[in-house]
Amino acid sequence: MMRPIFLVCLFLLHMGLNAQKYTDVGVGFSRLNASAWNETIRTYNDSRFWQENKLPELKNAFNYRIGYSGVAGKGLFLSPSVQYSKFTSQTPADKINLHWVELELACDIFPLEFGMDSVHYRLRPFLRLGYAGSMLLTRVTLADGAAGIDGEPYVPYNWPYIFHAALGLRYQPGSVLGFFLLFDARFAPNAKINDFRTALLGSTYLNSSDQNNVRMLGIQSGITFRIKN
Amino acid sequence: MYYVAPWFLEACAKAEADDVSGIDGTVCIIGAGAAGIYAAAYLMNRGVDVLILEAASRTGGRICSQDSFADFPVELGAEEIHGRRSLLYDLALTFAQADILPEPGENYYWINNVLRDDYYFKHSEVLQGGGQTLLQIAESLAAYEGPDISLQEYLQNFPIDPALTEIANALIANEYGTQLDRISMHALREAEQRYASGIDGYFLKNRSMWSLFESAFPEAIAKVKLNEPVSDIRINDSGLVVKTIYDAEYLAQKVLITVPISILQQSFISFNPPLPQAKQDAIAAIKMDVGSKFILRFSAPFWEENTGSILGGLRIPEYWVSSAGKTSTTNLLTAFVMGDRAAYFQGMADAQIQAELLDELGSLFPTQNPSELCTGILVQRWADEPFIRGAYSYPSPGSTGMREILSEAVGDRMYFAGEACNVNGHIATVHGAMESAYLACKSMMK
Repeated sequence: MMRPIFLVCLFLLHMGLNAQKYTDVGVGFSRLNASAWNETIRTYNDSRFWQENKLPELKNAFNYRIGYSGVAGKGLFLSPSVQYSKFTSQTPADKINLHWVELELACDIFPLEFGMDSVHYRLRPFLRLGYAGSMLLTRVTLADGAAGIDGEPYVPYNWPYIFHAALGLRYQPGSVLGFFLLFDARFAPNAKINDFRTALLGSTYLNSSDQNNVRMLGIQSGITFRIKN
Repeated sequence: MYYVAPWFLEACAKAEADDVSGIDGTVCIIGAGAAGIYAAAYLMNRGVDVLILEAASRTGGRICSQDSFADFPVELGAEEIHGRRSLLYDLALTFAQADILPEPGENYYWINNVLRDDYYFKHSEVLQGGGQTLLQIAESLAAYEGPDISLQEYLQNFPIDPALTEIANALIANEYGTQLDRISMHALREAEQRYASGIDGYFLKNRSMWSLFESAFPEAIAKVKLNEPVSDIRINDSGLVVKTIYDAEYLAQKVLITVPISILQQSFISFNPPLPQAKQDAIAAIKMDVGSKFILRFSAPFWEENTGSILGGLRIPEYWVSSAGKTSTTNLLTAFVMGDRAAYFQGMADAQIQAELLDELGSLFPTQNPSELCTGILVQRWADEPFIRGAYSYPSPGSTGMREILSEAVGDRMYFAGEACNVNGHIATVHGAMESAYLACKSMMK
């Protein structure tokens, strides 16, 4: 719990300290690799081979980001942001939803401007390196509407942390409005969904783990607004 | 993206690999109960050639029903679906969703010769909280820390009314297929810790349990060779030779043995070469007790309308109303008895069993006259079934960790499945048998 609070404080502190500021809003698409969770889904499908509708693996998500960038040095920005992603696996009867909220603090490096006094480019490549505290909420609803284990509600939440690296382009045609495009990779080591196997399979022994190293590749684009002082 | 970071997306190809069986010969499955038929259907679904040998003249094993005693199929064996997170529940959802019946009615308890309702059991000042304590003990068995004593010895540590001991026997020991003094606390803890399929119970309204399998896996059931009791399994360089008591021989690449643990214990099947010593020790350690079901039919109900089960009888630990919740005009009461109390009824004539049960019911309902209302009895003694020889496996002393050994393959030719092989804590259940069959099939295909 301390991690998100710490990041929020940093964000607020940073907003007040910096002169050159941007806000941005983005929409993106991510591809997930979560082998242990998908192994559980594969086991579910495989052991219930008579079912016509197979649960798809958790793979794709649309995500939504709202962020802020403030200059921290020449060609160097600090960018706190909030991002929401939703991964879904669904048949007409069963549904798994993974809601993933990230609170990230990133450092944006504009290599062509690094150490320079002024900005000369409208098309500005940048490298983003970030670290996010996140909250992972999982919901499993199977065909009979049962969403619990042993009569207890199944509402697991976890706090995985995420490393983030991205290559981006920012296009600034005017003094206020801009656009950005971002190719990003995220890595959440040892992200866990408590009792995911139990919720889906009714067993912890039919496959290996609720925990895995989650990797995501994504693309995101959006608009930026420069905030004038 | 693959070129840039292939390790990011490697999961995508893995699902396809699971569809390849890796088995190019025949798999012989011994036993056509839940584990055997599920395994056969699973393997056939992957294109594996299977041969299913069943010793009895019917499929189903310990799932068995009788159609003429009532206006619905009366279950003589497995009757309950334990929990909603299981292969069996999902099978019922697919093939009999409208017939899934949540466990109907409430429990009644026989305490100090008086039949009491659930409220009395939980809140009576006379019992000084004993009923609640007993339920808490039952819920906390997974957290037991202490020496490996029997459940009976463990219960003596609590200040509960002695009258509740019979109820503990009915709630826990009889349910596990035996009696209080035969359950090992360590083995019970192991089962309780691993159990994860849910605590709710379900029945099927107007169809039999085995009809689910007949609906789901007709091709597998059609392949069963009935009346083929296997007597000998021989491994040679080229594969396996499975021989029946009628000297028929079948060749196979692999064999999956799904017979009850009692059949292995009584050396009904001989193995050449002999099974590893660890496997033999595991077979000896996992016990199966005598168990029976007696179904009494009455012209009218004499029990309270909301009765589900009656717990704590001295002869029969648990009766339940089999006709409750069903679209039926028949009134059935099933007597469910395990261990020594079941052994007491072995060899007894049906009429005498009926008289004994009606005598006890007369004590439970002194203002009624069950004997006058009774119109028949159906007797199922599982220990008398020549290819079953008992009820189901229970958490016996020395069986902790043994189910893993029992379920292990012998080389890459011989595999074991069935409720006794279940390592998930789902012992003594149909879905536990199916899960063990699933794991055996996965192991076979590696």
